[in-house]
Amino acid sequence: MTMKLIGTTTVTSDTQTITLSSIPSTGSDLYVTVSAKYNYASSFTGMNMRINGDSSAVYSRNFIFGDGSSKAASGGSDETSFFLNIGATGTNGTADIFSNGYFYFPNYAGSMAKGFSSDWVVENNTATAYQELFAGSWNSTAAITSLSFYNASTNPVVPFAAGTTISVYTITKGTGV
Amino acid sequence: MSETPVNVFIDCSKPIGEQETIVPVTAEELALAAAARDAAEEVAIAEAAAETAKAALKDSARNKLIAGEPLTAEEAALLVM
Repeated sequence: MTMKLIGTTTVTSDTQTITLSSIPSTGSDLYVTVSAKYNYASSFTGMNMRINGDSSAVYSRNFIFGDGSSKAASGGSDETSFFLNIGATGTNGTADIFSNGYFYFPNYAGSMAKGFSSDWVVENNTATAYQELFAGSWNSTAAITSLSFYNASTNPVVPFAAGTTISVYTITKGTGV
Repeated sequence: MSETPVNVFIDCSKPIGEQETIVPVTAEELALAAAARDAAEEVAIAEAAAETAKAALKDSARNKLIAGEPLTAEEAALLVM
């Protein structure tokens, strides 16, 4: 089993959308790491993710959420993008504190609906520290070839801040038996 | 935020280090975003107004029931929904 970096970016200015395209179908699984911050005055703000630019109502999610003192569990179905509640930290948070997380897509190039897991945390050593664990699905038989990350707010526009980094890896299955 | 945001595109078919294309958000995209924002605000205002009217109708129906007064057809419909 091997893991290969196939795409990465660290943005250097306010960025509205980050899109990773032409993802090859050469791997078995897809692993995406995100370290994100918004240039926006909030502690944290949600983040949206779309697969293959698909804006139809085929995304579903369940999540559990904690902030250091309380917890919640909920979800949504038939949504037009995958929505992460805590998404990324804003400029009201501690300097140089980003939200870190991952997406893991098993069998991302297969011809069945795609499931994925995602785990997020605001990397802050304080009493209030947001964390969230997701299970999601994209109800499409297409291979995943692109991923877009953005904040859906248009009033105001909430851009990713410089330093936000997204990397995508393919994972190749084991062989030989 | 003062600067015009950009969109970043990473082409994974290219070697690492040669993948990035940075495109400033266009005036047209900003206009579309503003239009979407205005439309969303209009919907939100309309929904809030409808919600306020419904709450007022419920209050009126409740007060009339308590006072033993006849309800309007609209108030009665709200109670048997």
